[in-house]
Amino acid sequence: MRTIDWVVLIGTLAVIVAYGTWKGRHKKDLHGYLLAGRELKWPTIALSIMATQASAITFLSTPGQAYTDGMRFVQFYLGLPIAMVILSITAVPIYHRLKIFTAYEYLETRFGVGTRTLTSLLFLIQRGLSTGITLYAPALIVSVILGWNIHVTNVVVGLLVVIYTASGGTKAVSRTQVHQLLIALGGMAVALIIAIHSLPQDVTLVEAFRVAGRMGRLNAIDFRFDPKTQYNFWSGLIGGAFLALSYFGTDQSQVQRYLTGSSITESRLGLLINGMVKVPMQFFILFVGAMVFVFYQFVAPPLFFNTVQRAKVSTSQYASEYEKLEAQHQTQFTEKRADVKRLLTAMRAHDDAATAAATAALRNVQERETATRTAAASLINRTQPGADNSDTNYIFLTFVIDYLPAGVVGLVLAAIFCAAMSATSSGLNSLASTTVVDIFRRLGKPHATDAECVRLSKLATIAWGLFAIAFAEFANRLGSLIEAVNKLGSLFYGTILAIFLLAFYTKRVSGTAAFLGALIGEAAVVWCAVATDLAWLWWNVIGCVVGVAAALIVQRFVPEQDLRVSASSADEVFDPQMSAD
Amino acid sequence: MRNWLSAVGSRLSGKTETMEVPTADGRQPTAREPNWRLLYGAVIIELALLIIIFYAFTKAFA
Repeated sequence: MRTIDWVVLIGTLAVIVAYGTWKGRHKKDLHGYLLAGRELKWPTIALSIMATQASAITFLSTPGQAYTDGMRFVQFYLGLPIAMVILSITAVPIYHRLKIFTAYEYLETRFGVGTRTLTSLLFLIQRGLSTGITLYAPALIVSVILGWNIHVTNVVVGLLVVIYTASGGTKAVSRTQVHQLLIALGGMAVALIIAIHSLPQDVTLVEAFRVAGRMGRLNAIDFRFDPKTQYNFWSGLIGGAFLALSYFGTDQSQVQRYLTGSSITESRLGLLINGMVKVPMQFFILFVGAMVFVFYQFVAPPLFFNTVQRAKVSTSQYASEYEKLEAQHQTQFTEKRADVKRLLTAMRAHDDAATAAATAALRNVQERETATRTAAASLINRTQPGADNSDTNYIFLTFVIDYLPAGVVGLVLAAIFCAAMSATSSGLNSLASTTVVDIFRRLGKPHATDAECVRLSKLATIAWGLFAIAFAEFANRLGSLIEAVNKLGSLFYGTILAIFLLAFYTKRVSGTAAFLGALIGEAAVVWCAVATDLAWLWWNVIGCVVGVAAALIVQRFVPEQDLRVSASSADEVFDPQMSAD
Repeated sequence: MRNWLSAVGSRLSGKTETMEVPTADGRQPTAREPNWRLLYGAVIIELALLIIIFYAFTKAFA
């Protein structure tokens, strides 16, 4: 990295931390500290919601996903807009009316303290681990590509986040996220422009699209139904909707973003704008990866993008085998580049037969190249059993470091760290809220003063920050990180959603039945994850459906006096009085 | 045109909720809500359009 890159990177991060700390000053009471005084408007809420979901993993791993697997990952987000509409109609008015700090508080009014505590604990486990991965992702990738010390990077980034999140609370988190997301998207836009600009002079943008498309990298939509395929239209629309309903409706890291709205209208608009912008945004990020893929059709890519693993295998007993694979890869690249040129010539001449022949040849050499990459990955696995043999996460940053000009590298790195910090800050902020409101104040000290709770929230933020940093030190061997985070979430989201759906829509389900239903739903998800090869997006559907069904069945055996119907139950969900503040 | 854009902007921004609308007899101003059905419909229609565009994109370059 050159001096100008360091200046851009350090300058951006310093300004963000200072801005966050300054924005969050004067927050003395719990309402102000955890909910930003409920004074935020929809643009801040919308960007904050988007920044919470879009971590560094999104900006590093997603382009790599498009490079290796095409753009079909975009289908994962198709259910999100539907979920935003459902939540705007149902959850937002309920949460606002009850003036709660956390989503789990609502559950107590409906099912009692046991269910509230269970969901709070599930959230703390899942979000605590996910925040560790969120922090670990950029540190790992930067340490591999730039040779930085992963432990130092983890600790420095983690502490920077803790400084402004602990001192400024939710307001600092939301305000900084606006700028962080804009910087992150700006960095990606610059990378895309340079990737396209770096293509050979005679290759037009449409031709670049055609090359990517014929090599299966613009496969945005696939209507074929296959429960074992991770990403298709149906899993994205149905499984994705369940996942988004649970994530945005019951995960405190998101609920807390729109609880800061000054009214129901502001919160709803924040969610709906997220529903409108998220899918195109993910398409854009995947498209950056597809263009990086086209770039590497004209410039030789490394056989394996993870330089650390590459160095290890090169000095191991398998070094000569790896060298042979590298030579084979180089030959295949030369052959592939010639085929791409042949394809472009045939397309320019509108020669359908020649285009079909060149496409077939190209796909053939692509398959052989993929086989070579797989062989290299297995060699790396043999060198170091259990090592990370997926290089998806390293592709985009390798391109950035090797081919982007001075200053822009610093900007893209700043973008990645901003994204990491924004998602981590939301995570820590929500973990602190749940720890203090649902555990400490509910189970430990119900009459704690506001000042005590604020002080404890700050301490909890610091403690969860340290936990995330510690977990980040061990979070390796997870393959594609964006998948890892969503898989981890999908283990719990279906069950949590089941509890909330029972609370929202049923009148005659007791806390005991909901609690047991949730346990049975969770057991079904764990069974699916361990004993079947069902695509993980469907775990959300299974957990939710089994959880709801089991609770309804168990309810038949629960005595009538166990029922506990509160003022916030189904009858009042659509009460017209609730649609206004 | 400017008035129309300003009306759309304020409607979407939610400012309408707190916007004071003077009544004919000068009584207490009332508040207006955005047209939620319209907004929900817009989100779903945009999703449908995106799916069509993505599908066309997939087919056009495959």
